[in-house]
Amino acid sequence: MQLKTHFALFDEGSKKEIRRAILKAVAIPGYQVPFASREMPIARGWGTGGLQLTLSIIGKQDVLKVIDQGADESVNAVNIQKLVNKTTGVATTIETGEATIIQSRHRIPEVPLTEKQIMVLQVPIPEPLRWVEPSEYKTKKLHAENDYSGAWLMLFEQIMKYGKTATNADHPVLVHDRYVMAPSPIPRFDNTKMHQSEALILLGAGREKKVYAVPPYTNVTSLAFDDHPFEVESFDGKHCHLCQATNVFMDELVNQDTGETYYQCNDTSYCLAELNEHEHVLEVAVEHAR
Amino acid sequence: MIIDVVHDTQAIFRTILHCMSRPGTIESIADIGNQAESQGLCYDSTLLSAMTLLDAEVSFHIIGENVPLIEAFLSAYTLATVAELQEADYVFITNGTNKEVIHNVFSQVKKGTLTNPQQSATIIMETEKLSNDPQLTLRGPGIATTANVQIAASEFWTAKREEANQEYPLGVDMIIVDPQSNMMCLPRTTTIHDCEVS
Ligand SMILES: [Zn+2]
Repeated sequence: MQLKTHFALFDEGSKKEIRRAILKAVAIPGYQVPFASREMPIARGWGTGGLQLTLSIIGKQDVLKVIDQGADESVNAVNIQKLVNKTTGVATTIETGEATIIQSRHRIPEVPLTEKQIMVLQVPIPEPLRWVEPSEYKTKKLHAENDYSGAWLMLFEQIMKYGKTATNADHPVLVHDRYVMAPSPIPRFDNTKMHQSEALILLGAGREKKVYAVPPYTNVTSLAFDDHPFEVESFDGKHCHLCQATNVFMDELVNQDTGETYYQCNDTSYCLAELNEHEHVLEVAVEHAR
Repeated sequence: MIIDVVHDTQAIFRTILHCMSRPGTIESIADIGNQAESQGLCYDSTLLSAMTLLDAEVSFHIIGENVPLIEAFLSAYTLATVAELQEADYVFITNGTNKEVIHNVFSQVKKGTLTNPQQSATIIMETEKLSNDPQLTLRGPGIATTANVQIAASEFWTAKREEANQEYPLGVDMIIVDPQSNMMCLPRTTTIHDCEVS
């Protein structure tokens, strides 16, 4: 028996079905379009939704970057990158600026995205109303009726309890003034990058078989109350201990010996690029000093 | 017909995706699958769009002349089934179709439901010429401020399209192609106004 391997793993029928769903998702921003999720060679929950989108859109000319929680080197990201490279032969990169497709879990890169790029986000739970309504039939109805009181109630209860909205990640957003959408578990810091983004953003959920999208130049507002406005994670007065960057999303680390707290860029390729840049500047400075 | 069903359809899909994401952007698919033989019955770009999007899972409807012939070869190439206008997933309007017939298309096609707005028709329309000359001004998602376009014979359908899209999220999405294999898309979110004369 001879097995014929497909470009990008999927047969053409599978790709076509997902492609049709993607076009509808772009035409109805923030609305979750159902599709028939395929069996994948990696376990669900490991980014199959994002991977299915990537495999359906990718072509020979593309350059792929895969990140997991800000890191290109994580096992998960490397495995996805290898799988796509093996089945398509496309080039891969860690440089955000070089990539045409960026698949990611939990982050949108710090380097601003461009019109030439497509951001693919992996989504574990695509339904922002799932916590108030376990029934898919009913959540679809709530979206249809533009009834988002459940999402507002959730935020209100958090404010009553904690004095602020307690969502660390996946803070719901309103897209094009119509659909409330789960931005996937990105920090609130990244929600603002979705608003009027230059790049197309596609979001894929493998288990729930949904694809949704934020087209470029589309209004994306994080849900908030007038007297409790939306606030992103603050890194005021903090800087990355490696590259000195400020105004980026940072991980808080603790020195085991001294107990001292310090910060580090969560986006590792950004940090590396900044370091290289500084080194270069330093070299030039040294050169000039001679 | 010489078309690479894997790589050519991928390239055409990405062009459609780019255009659907950025209404008003005109992209050419002339270099892709340029051996497509539409036998003069429709534009090559119409045939290529059909081959990119259609398969046995979806249905289509042809508006214009030579309907049985186009139906026959589109079915043969894509395995998609022919459906009534009111049921079709993809509706092709070939060049030269008159205003009344086009009006009827926009009235009759599927516009989805509030629960399933994606269950709507996509209209693939042929036009004599697409350009970015300032005839119409587009606004909406995918457009930074405004985009100017000229679509030959658009006066036949812009008002009817607006009517079809007035109950967002219900509506129809359009892929417009010209004989030079230029392509432009109008998702239901795009609003169209005549350019203001300055
Ligand atoms: Zn850093």
